[in-house]
Amino acid sequence: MKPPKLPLLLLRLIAGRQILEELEGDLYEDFLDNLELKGYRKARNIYIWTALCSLRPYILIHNKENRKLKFIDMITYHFKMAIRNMLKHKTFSAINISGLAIGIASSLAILLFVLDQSIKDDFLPNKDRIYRLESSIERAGKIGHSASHHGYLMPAIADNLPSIEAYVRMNKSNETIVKDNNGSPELIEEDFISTDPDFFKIFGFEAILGNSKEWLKEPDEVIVTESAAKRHFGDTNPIGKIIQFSDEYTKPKRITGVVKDPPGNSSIQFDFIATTEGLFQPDLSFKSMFSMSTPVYILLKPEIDPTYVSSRIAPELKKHTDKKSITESTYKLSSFNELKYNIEVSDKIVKAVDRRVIYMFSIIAIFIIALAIINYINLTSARSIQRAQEVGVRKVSGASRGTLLNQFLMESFLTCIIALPLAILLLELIIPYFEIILEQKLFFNYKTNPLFIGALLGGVALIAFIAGFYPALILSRFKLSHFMKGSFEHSSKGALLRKILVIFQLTFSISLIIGALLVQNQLEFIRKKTLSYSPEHIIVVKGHFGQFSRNYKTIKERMNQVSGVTKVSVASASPGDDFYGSMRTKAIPVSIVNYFVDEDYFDIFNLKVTDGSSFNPKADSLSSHVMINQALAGVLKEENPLYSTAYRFRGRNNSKIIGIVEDFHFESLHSEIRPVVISPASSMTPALSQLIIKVETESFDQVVSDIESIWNEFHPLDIFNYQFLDDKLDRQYSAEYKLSKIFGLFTMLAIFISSLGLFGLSTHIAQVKVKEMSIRKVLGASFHQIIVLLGKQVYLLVAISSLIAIPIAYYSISQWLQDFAYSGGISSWAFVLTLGICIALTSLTTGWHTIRTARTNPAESLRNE
Amino acid sequence: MKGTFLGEFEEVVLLAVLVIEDEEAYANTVRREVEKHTGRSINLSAIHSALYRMERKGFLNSELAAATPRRGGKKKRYFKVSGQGTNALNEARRVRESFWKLVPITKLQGGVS
Repeated sequence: MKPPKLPLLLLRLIAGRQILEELEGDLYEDFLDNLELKGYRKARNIYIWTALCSLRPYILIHNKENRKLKFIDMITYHFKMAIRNMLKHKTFSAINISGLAIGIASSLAILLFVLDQSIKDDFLPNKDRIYRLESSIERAGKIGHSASHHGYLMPAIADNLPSIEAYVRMNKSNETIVKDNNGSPELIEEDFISTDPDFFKIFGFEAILGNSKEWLKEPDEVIVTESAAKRHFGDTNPIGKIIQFSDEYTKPKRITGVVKDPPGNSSIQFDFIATTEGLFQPDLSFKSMFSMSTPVYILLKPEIDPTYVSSRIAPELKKHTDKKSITESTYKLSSFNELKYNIEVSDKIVKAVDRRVIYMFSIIAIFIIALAIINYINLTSARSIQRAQEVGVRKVSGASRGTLLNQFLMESFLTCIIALPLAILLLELIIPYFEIILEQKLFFNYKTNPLFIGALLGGVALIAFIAGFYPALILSRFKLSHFMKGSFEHSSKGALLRKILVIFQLTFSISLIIGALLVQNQLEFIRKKTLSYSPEHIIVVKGHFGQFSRNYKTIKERMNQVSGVTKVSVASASPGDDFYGSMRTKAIPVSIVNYFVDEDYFDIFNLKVTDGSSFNPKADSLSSHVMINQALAGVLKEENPLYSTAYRFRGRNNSKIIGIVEDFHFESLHSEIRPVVISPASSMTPALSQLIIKVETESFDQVVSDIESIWNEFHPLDIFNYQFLDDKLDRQYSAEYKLSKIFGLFTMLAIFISSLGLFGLSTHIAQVKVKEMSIRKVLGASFHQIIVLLGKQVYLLVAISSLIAIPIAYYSISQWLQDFAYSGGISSWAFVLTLGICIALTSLTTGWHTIRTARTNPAESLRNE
Repeated sequence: MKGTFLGEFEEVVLLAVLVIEDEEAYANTVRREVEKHTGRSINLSAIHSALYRMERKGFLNSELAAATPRRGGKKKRYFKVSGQGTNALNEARRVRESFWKLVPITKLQGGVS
């Protein structure tokens, strides 16, 4: 029977040799005594316990034979050597440290973003039981998904589905509130969620004032967040106060409760929670004219299978209606936890981030760290030749391979430990910029999270180990005999690995450059190529529904008089809007988008009428006249639908198609052009909610302020809400712009790290080869020949990397472009340009050393031999 | 006098070394002796700690002895009480007895329940 060995390992690590022997002896004897008296199990347990108890400070100090401990001694020694070595080779140390710092910082930034996504909504108590109702239906051969449902859908079926604990219909909107500052009104825009009373049951936002179970029972009730209450009422008690809205269609509301602000990691953000007036009608049914569609969120009872509930929905609905769009849809309950990644179906309430973007970011983060590690490995192992002498002497003086390994690992640890605080500093510098790109604040506070800091230190230690292990292995392998024989100089083993690593680095950087250029190219295409007008000269002034129903003619006339304004149009929508509302009629198999515009619209947007005529500017167009776009014309069954009166697009009577307009992009290029019906403005004046103003001037500020003063004359109680059309269009692609900016940022960082590596490598090559080149020079080689000799290796690597990178980049970008219905394609100039950038960067980073080596006077470099 | 002060446990260990000095006092025998007289079970590491600490203070001298097979071939360290150690023991005893003399006998009666 022998005692276990494991407990002694720790003891052996820290105890001096002499005391260790005595302790081990005593312990062993004790173990044998106990073995006889108490049996093996007990003896073993006592042994382990005693060994652990023996780990006391005195065994460190108490060491008669050798007062200073070998272990501590070696660490201090290695530490000293590492610092000396780093100071001696300042360039290499700087390259290694800065590379690692940038690598760690950018990976941390990405990590924080990814972490933020994963801890979204973790404060919600019921979040695993919350689902969003989604439906899909096949239309014209395509499956359309929707998260919005008829307002009566849930009331109709909820009673017969006992697994549903609660449901809410929710809508998010932006409302303008009039704050009365002692007679001078101030307009404040706030985020409203209009919903059902069970909102607080499903999403457990904490009540501060009032009882959340009693809330939202009356149609005029509103609940306010803590900070919004402060904004409007200061420190006074807001309960019972009335809030007034700027538009006349919304009735004043009474505050009955205060909740805590939603936390930063909440998907659901709001300032006010109100009731949905339209849904409070007692006679709401599938037949009622008013059919407001809203997203629906459902709380299921514990341990209910959502697929079972969703399968029951359609059969239940059949009892209430025979509308095909409702009964023939497929219903599905999507887990609330998944909504943050669901970009296929979306609502205004939960902002989704493409999961692929998260994966891509994570991959980029890992690769950037890899770049920095490769720099370290390459530079350190390349320099091993120069350090062979040092290793040889150490070995002669008795250093074992293990000791040498420790020493070189110590160097990489030290490098990483110096890089870490720099990385944190850098991270703090990039976070504000990063937050602007992401358009969201980072929520997770890494500085106060011990787990994160622990993981960070562990991660850095791991990086140090990965980076340091291979060079340490190489360095400690040198034998003095080899060194004496001179056979170490040109070992090609390590060189191949280094080349592979450099190729990996360059491949990644080149792919990123090509990717960034092509993403940029597609965005340019979106901005410029598809537009028949110049959006930077068009101002869109947005009002609410019914804003201009009474005064659209006069306000248009006044705006036209502003100097610099060339044309004004009133309309229901402008490019970049979500479509104003689609409809379906029996005779047409597809859903159609309806626009209401006046005659000047066509001029402003340069819409070409291919057939027939536009609305008559002189007389008011007949309200029964419509125009259609080519996409719709293609769907209609007539060969030439012009002047057809076979269709009812609006109201009770059939319309007459008086013109056909060329297809134009109004929605984002992600979707195809839809069939559109354009009706004259006069046919539905409340829909006119936008002024579209074409401006031809040098001083835009002056025009904007002139327009604003006219606005204030007509609508003093509404916020003047204007936008240049190019900004508005860009917003459609904000996800793509974000992507391209982040792509750009990390591409720069990756290029920088790789360039550092190339620079370091060329420095090293120059040092090693200077004598060879000098001898060549003496023998008659010309300056050019030497440049070629030195440079060809590096350029060969660049060429190989490009060959690998081009297909990778081509494939990934073509995948990305599939998200667009219309793409600018993959143009070859991006590849050519990338090659140019690479050659320029390579020449820049390696050129200096190459030229310096080639110009070295042989007398100087050879005089030591 | 700091440094020469004897803790209660140290005192017991020192006494135990004194008692078994002639028949070779090392950690295991010292522990057996202490356990025998106090009736408490004591972890070996506590004995080690006390012995090496008192050696550092100069209360104990020590020497290495030969290894035996029962110890897995490891040497052991024998301890002997030094002059300084004897002084410390005497001093501790003197302090106690001077107190004992002052405590009235009546106060000690009935203390045990």
